[in-house]
Amino acid sequence: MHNGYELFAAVVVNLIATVLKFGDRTQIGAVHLATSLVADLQLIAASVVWVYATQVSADGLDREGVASVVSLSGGALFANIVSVVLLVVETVSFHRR
Amino acid sequence: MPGPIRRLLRDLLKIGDGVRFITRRRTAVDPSVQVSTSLFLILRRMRAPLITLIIIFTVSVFGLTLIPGRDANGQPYRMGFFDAFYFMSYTATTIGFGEIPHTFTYGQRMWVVVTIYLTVIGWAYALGSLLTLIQDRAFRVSLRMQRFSRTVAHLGEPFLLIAGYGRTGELLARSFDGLGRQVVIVNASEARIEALDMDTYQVDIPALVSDAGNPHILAAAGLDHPLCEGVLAMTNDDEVNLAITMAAALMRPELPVVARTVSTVIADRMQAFGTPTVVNPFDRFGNHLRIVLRAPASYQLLEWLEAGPGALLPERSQPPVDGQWVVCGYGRFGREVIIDLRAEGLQVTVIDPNASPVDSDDTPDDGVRVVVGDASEPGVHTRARDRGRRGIRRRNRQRHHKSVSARSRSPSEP
Repeated sequence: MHNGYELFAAVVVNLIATVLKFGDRTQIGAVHLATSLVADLQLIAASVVWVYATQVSADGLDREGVASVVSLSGGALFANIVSVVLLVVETVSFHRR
Repeated sequence: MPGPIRRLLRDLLKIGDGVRFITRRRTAVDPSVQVSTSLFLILRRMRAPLITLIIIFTVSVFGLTLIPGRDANGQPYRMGFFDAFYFMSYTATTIGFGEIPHTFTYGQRMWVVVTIYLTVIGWAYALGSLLTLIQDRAFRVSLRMQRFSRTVAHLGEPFLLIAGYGRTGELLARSFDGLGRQVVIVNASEARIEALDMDTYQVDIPALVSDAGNPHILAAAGLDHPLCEGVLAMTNDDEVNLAITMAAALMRPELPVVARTVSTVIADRMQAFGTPTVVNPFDRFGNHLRIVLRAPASYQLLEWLEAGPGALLPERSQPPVDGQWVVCGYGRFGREVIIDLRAEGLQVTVIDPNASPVDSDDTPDDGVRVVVGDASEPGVHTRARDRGRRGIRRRNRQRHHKSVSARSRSPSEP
């Protein structure tokens, strides 16, 4: 059984991280914001599927529902990993002018 | 270059050795410097309110899911995330549907009281920031600038860039609009652009309120646009007109530029940048006056041709050719008119409160009398009176009058 609190925590932290990336006019800043928005989308989709499965659907939170939620969260995880890789590469290649 | 061709060119153009051809290269202006994006402004300023709102919502929802409630049968249950989120949404926005899914226990209600105060304030803060931002002057200016440059960039027909929407600019805009040509207007004062909005023109005229001397503004207004056909610098500030001429000569050397100035110094400096058509309105008025006096038929033709297509034949004037002329006002305009009147061999009397009877280096020759006094006093005219005098009035700039009228007086009038 998967914990709803953890999904909730993931959504909240991701939203805050996205808002922190607002307003950056550089190219790399825009890329980071894009990956963050992708992760946002995935996590909100996961939450919607979870709510649908528990409240609306007749079968409740069955194996397929859980699989959907986990897959979508995995997509968000991948987007965040991409963002971290970009950040590391940018930091390593940063030259002080 | 090979020898014979160079020799041929040298002979044709009569230039000496060692002279290099200076090619006119266009200087580019970086457009992104001036034009800021309004969306980024919103995003940046909304960061703090949004994060505050998210944190408040999180805390409230989390608390609601932890506190146990009691359902209809008296069994304890815990609210799900979605129920809690739904409840907080309509509580924060002060809609207030009711306690779902079952009536709250007092433990729940205690927590809800805290969340009400937190979330309503958080929501009002976020909404208020957004509304203040939309009303912010810098934001609105940048929005207007964006819309303007986008409209100009999408213009599909050849257009003229008019800098300065005073009376001259307005006349020009109307004439060109009547001819079916597109114009783009930049003006420093907002009131005039608002008047432009109210006016009836055949097509929409993109207009911007900004300092026209700034090359970034000119670039946004279409100086870099391939369909720009010409630049008209018609502001009332000669230095700004000079700056526009310079920018046009550097950015688009092949574009025709017409610039207005009343100063000969600035006119000379303008001629140093490309080949602008410099119009000195005072000088032109004097020239037209001479044409009227000498050849009224030519002036009639000139007026008719300048009035545009479809104009009616104007009346031929019967200008007074002899007699004494009285010029009220010895400013720049007065001086130019006096020069032209004297060139026609006419007698001129000048009335000016500031001019001394024995004037400085630019005193006209003997044909001019200077009377010191205020031209609106009747006694002064008596002093300047002569049989059959004619008059041109132009009040001084200090009185903020620029009306010019030519009157003719019959000898019998006092």
